[in-house]
Amino acid sequence: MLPEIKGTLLPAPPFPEFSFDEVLDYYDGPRILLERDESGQLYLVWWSDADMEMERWICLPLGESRLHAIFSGQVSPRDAMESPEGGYLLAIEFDLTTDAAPRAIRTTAAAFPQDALPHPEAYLRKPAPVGV
Amino acid sequence: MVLRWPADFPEDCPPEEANPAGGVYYRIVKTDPPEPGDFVSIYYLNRRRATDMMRHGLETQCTLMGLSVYADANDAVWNARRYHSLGDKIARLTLGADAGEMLPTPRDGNSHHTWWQADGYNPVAFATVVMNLRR
Repeated sequence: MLPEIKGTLLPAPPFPEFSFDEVLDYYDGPRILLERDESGQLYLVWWSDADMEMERWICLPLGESRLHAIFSGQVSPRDAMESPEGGYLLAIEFDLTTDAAPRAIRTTAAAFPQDALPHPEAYLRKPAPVGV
Repeated sequence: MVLRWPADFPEDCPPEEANPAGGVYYRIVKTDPPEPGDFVSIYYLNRRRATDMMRHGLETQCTLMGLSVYADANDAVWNARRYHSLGDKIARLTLGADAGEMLPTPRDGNSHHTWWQADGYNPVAFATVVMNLRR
């Protein structure tokens, strides 16, 4: 069983389900996504952990400039999660045993086990090769 | 060599452009030595997510029945750092043509391949952990 994430349970996730419209990384399936809620708020959505009962994703609300900083490698995803612009991120939990709606917990990176966050040296894009 | 596929593979799966899976590839695994659970596709592991993705037209059942592997070990390390929970070990797979079929499916120019395992193939026997990222 995945460890509990402490925080505030929201009445509903910011978006009812992942649209998978923009997949930034794939390993056996999409693992990093970009999503927007109805108000236009952008989220970097990062696969965190799973067992046979639950799958958990990290949803980081962020603005275009922070996203650009992550894309360009100026800010690591881990740093962005530990210093979110809005002061929080969301844990989105899918119960894999039922069709129940996903749960959204407003929390911070500190609530996640270290192993459930990206490595501090993990980046979204590989550095471009240096030309000779 | 005539390969057999799991009974629930769609008719056109693996895709026509896939090739025999011979060669050396790398995959993120949780256990050393690797166990069968390290080689289960999302389609079988997480049917709910697979169904969501198929419903959105993002992925096909065939794609989700495949496994991600890399021709370059560095790409496997790169991704293992993104998702600790996937596993902290990199296994080298030495695959023969009987392993199934393989298709290059690069992401951002990396060495990602999708591997469809032939029915009855035992990947554990051909997988060796070559890196433990926890150490």
